[in-house]
Amino acid sequence: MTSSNRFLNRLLLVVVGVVALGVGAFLIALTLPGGSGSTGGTVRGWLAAASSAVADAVAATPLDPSGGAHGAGAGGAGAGGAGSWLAVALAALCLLLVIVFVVAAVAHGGGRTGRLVVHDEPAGSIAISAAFAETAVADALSARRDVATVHVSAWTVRGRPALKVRVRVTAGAAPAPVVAAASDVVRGLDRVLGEAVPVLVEVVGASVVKRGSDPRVA
Amino acid sequence: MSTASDTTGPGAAGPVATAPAAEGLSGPGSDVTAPYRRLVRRESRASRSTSAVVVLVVAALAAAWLGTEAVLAALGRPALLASPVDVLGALTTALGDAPGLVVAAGVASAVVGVVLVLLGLTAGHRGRHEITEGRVAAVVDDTVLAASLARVARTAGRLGAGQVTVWVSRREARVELTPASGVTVDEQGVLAAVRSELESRPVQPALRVTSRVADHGRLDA
Repeated sequence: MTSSNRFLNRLLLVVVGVVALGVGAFLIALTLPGGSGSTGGTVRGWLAAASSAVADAVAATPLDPSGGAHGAGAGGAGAGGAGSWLAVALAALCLLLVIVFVVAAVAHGGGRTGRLVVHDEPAGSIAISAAFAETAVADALSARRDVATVHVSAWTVRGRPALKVRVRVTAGAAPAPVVAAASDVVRGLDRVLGEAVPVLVEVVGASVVKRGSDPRVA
Repeated sequence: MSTASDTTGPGAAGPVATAPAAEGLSGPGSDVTAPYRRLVRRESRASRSTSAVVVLVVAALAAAWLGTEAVLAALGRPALLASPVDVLGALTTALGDAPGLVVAAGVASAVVGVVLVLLGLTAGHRGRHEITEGRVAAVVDDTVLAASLARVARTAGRLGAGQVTVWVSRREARVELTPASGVTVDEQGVLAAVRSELESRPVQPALRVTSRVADHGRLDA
């Protein structure tokens, strides 16, 4: 129930994947045998053209136009175009990209909230902590025999608070009665809060580490 | 006729039937269920956040390296690995010296690209089914469904703990029965019990129940 933008995740994966695929195809095509008419020859022709175009661009853009005579062009070509402002621009672009990527990576997750209900009234504002609903629901459900553990968390979904109830059932327990019981508990919570919040119940299995006891009631 | 339509009315309007109960206590009851479809969809599919974060971190590292090389190139200092301004020239040299290396790099890049495109385009189902309940949205792990169906099958067929295995996939529940040697298994009875369990407590997407009885029984079963 995190607020991560899933479409952007997938768009990023597809775009980076297509770029990597293109680079890979280019590198493989470079090594194909053949003369100037074949695929390999054509791609090698592109590489030579692009290579000389980059060299020309670097030579034509000295960092210091007045001092360009002291060999940034012809003399520095072997050293990789020392002193071209294109390299400085590239460095600035890379710095920008690093910031964007790190911010985008850190922006994942999130969406937890501490306030379940907020009422604004003339006398002031009333806030009900999410911890209240969390303990209420967990206490009401954990008494059941087919429930091993209950974990409740509050999240912001589309700008409004919502509860997520994660119920770990014992091995072999039917999920539907647990969901019905959770539904009853939430209806009771509605009456207490005076307001209905969206609730997602997630029924998961007995953990591998701590096995739920199998109630043998055949 | 009017009584018939009255009785079908509330039954047909399953999800709506709970709306009056919610509305009874406060005004906006119907929009409580509004985010449920979205919530269930998001909980049933992979978010791809892990893959995206890995790609972003790798891209940030690559950009940092490229930026460093660019600064070194601008200062006229020797490059760490390859200067960004003559990387194409370096590639041309490598093509003559070690074409195998270029092919290997190309294949590696293409494989990474295919994996990323597949990650981006496939649905990434997380093996969960939805149980429709009026007030709450509910998703259930397939392992929980399989365990509960296995228990139903075991009770119906009077089988031991190791004699029933249930596999639940997106649209199918497969019941595998291992009979005790010399004893026939009531396959139809077990199937009927599992089917009626799924009919009384339906999940979405709906499950088709199939069964298979092992060719060889087991003595210790």
